[in-house]
Amino acid sequence: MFDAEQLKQAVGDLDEDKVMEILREFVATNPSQEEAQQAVAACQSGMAIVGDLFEKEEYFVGDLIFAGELLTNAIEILKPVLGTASSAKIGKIVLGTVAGDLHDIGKNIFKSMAEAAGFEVFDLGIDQPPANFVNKVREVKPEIVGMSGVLTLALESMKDTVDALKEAGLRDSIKIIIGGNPVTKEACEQIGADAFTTNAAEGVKICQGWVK
Amino acid sequence: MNNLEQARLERMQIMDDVNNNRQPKRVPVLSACSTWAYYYKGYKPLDGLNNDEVLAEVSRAIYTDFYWDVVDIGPAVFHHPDLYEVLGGGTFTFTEEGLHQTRPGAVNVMEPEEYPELIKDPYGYMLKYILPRRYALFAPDVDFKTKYEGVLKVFAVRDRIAKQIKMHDDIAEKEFGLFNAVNGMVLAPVDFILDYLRDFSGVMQDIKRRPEAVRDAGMALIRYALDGVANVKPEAGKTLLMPMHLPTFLNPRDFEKVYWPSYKALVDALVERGHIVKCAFERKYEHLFDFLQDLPKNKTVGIIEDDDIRLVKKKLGDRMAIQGGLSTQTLYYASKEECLDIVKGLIDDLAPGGGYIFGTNKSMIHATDGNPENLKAVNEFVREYGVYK
Repeated sequence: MFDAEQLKQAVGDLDEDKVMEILREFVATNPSQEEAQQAVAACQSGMAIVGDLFEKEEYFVGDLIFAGELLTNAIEILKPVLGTASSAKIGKIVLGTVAGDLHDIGKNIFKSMAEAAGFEVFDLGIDQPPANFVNKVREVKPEIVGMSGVLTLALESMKDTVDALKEAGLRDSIKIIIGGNPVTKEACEQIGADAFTTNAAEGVKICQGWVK
Repeated sequence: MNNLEQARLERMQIMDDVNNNRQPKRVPVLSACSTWAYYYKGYKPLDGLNNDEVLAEVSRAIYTDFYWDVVDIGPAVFHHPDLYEVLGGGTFTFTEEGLHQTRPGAVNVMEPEEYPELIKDPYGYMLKYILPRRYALFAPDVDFKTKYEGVLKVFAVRDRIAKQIKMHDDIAEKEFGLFNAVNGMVLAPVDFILDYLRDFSGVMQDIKRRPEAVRDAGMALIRYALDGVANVKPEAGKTLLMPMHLPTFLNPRDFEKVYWPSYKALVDALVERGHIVKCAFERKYEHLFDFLQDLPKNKTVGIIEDDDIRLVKKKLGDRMAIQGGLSTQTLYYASKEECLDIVKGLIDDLAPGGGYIFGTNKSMIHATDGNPENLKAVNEFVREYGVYK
């Protein structure tokens, strides 16, 4: 086995060498699927430390990007021993960067933090027209829709997407959060979203509040 | 000397004063009104790319309908799709409306193991590895004649872009007594690595895994940055514009280790050559103010995007001039009265002592970056209210 506290702290410290060393040694012991799930859980708790340090402005976005990378690599190492068992999900999020905007860094940070917090995330990708959000919401019936954008033109696309969800009669069954550089309180009101954030960690907390 | 020429010279003096962090005659109103101008006149940026008449029409419209003293970025575009078409690649892509964005996946053309080669010989490394990987035109199997003809076409497109920029500048100068205050563009070395070699995820992995290599590559790229503006002569009232991309995302420890050494050395070298450097502090820089205090005194201008600009004035106002204050969001969403209130507060708090340039916190690119009625009102207001008595 492994020391869960040590693994969690190593992820929180973004100490890649240590995380990889612990996980390699762990995988070499040929652990059960359940034990492998515990390792995933420890890494995810480490991500929560990263999120806290980000909110305290100890870490910055660059650290979050690296943390996402670190988590992906950690899960990759664990894959052979993870099998098909999956942990319980706390909710579903349909996520995408809106039409006309090609930025994905913020969206990806939010995605890795939301997944680490236990959400099942359906990532549509970048430059997604309203119809793609509508179709995915119909298909997977999420609790939450997350729209991301960096350019100010994304604000128009976000509004179009909310309007399309309204027209499709889906608006009332979901919560909508918008995130990225241009979003503000005014923009959020105009767009008709339920919440806005420029901070991925805060965004995840808002989503957790919605599925409690 | 006609009145327009006189107005232009007076404005150049105002900008020279303010750029050197002195008190000018009045607070200058600066235009960063770029492709917004097309939307204002019911066009899209694409309409002006190959059509000089449209460019002339929108340029005249924004300089007639709104008050300005100086232009940082006008509606003539720097990035033309034809350029990347001829080169067969590049890091940009264009929306249907003609706005450019970084093309996902297009930036990262450098392997992390290649830092030593980049550090040893930046030009050689880029010729040997980066150009062929980025542009189909420079692929090894393309014959010399095709490359040669391609490069001629590249020059032709660049010439067209330069002509459009000159056309805009001539209209601004000769018809409106304005001037383009951007003397040249320069990129901080580590931002070059981010923007053109490794992309976000790549450069962040490098900063964590091989910080010394990123730092040393930055130092090696200073010459490259300096060469890019070697022919630009310093001129009173004008600055070199340095858009800054990575620092807002770096914690102060990483910033100090990898970004600061080459950034500081580059700014020092440019100031030594007589330039004033206008740094666009994109997003927030509050966590880095302590470093910025060590930039050459009164030889930089900071464009403040999302920081509390009053705090910037307090912390850095004795070291650098500051530009901005009015968020494009406010300009778009708020009422005229709210905008005027905010702008009065900005002049009251930021103008005393000089060193303040009134403008939007970001370039106005899209229709959502400002409401014309608000823009008209605030610019007129500053023109009257921003006079030093």
